[in-house]
Amino acid sequence: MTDWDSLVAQEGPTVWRSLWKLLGDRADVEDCFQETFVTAVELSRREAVTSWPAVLIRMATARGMDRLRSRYRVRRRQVVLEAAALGNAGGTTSTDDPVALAIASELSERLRQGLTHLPNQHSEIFILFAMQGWSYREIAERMNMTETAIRTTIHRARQRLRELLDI
Amino acid sequence: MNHPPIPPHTQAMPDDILERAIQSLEQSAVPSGPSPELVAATLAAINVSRPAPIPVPRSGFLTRRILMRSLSATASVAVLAIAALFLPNEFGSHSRAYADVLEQIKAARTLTFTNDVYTETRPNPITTKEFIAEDGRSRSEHESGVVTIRDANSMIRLTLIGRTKTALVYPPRESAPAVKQSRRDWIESLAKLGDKPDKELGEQTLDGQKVVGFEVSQGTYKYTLWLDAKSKQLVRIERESHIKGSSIIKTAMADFHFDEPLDEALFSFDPPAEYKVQTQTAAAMPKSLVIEENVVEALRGYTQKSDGKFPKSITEWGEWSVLLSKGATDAKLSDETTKVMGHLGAITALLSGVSKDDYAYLGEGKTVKETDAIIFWCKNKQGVYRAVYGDLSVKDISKEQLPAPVKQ
Repeated sequence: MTDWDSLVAQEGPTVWRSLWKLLGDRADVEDCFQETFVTAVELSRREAVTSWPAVLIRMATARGMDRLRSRYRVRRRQVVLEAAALGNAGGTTSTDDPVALAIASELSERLRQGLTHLPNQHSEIFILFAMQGWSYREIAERMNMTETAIRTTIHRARQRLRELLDI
Repeated sequence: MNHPPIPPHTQAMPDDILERAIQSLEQSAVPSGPSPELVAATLAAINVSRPAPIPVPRSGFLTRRILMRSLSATASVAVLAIAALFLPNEFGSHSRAYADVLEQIKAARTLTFTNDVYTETRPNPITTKEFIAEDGRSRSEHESGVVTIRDANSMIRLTLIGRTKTALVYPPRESAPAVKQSRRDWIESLAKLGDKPDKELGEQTLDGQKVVGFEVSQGTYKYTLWLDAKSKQLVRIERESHIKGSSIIKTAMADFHFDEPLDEALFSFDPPAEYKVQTQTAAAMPKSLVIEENVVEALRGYTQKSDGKFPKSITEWGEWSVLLSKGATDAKLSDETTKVMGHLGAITALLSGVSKDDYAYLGEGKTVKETDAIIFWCKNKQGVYRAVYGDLSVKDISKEQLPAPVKQ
């Protein structure tokens, strides 16, 4: 039986930090924090969890990525709508709009945005490796993949992110 | 995990744009969290075993979340207020410029300044803009958009949460607080200044401005006063923090404006028409500013829920948040819990005015059954050692009766 009070007390700060690095927005972080633990409750009903810290980080990463994708979908829509309102619709993208350029001037924000362009699994693996500090082997074990596959995924994610950041 | 975190500002930015971006994220400031309100909401969601986050009313949840930020802001303002109480004893008249600045403060009818609270966990300070009216009322504008308006006794009367357009209205206190800490008192008390600064720091550059510094101390407290080198106007007052277990490093006041006309509306206790009003109970505010009384009330609230066990710390709130939110059926904290958290917040603020050597918390591992054990002690302004025992009784003790130091 999981002691949720203790788990939230012990792992809460780590989950909080992880989500903050990924999202950088208090409201989003607080929402995802709740969602992460509620999802963990659901998981605990289905299976015995042996390592909550790792599971929670994975869940937080997944929730955070969902939130990031949602955020930039909305933002892209806003950019198009604003451009349309200025009579500048058609061909306007998030990268040549002044608003988007201002946002993109922040490297970390650009990385967050770039992550949303990766396939789900690629972004999760990249975050676990580059931002959470997991090793290839740890990721491979957690995701039931080979270390080689993990290395390849991270390599591709890096390539794609560099392309996106260099725009 | 094989990658240790990169200490902020200790590594040069790599050439690779992706590595720079990762490093930027690594070095980005992470505010302390989760807040007690968030922990409460999360545990409530877990307790009701719902597959989705508990349907807490959005505005209410945000309100409570921001309330905690407001509490932090309040604490930082209280830190300033307490620091200000000590200022009169630390200024001197060693130099003409120094004396002139003090005279200016003494003669001030209104005052505005910024208050920055520096912590170990953030590279940037938490900033509030402070306004003090002639009659002692004050207004704090926190960087999160939360505005707090206090009466002449420094008691909160109105909190405005811009993000949710919510106004928290506090009733006036039936009696004045035990220790008055209004800004007006502070300004008036500067008239009693004496002597000289401990040390002149000479001319230095502060944020590109040439300044002259004066260092003054009282006990183990140290303040630094910076005056513009040419105009001799007050530029900045810094105070080192020494709250055991707190992440606050120092507070700094700057951007002073004396005697500027301040709009009466800034200090109105009436909420703006477009704001949703929530009337708060007096329970949210500690009635005492005496340290040991707040310690007793906070520990009483804690031990009533912990089977008599004392917490590990009275300055780190995580453990308190989890315990006090137990049994909540939604994200709302009870009045009793709010009251306990109010006392807890007061402890941190009040301890900022006490030397590290003049108090200790020793409750870790102890219970209320250990009636003879000293859980907390502090030396008050009269030089009397006050001890809180396991049964939460408070007694005067001699210096020889102080328990051996315990690493907190």
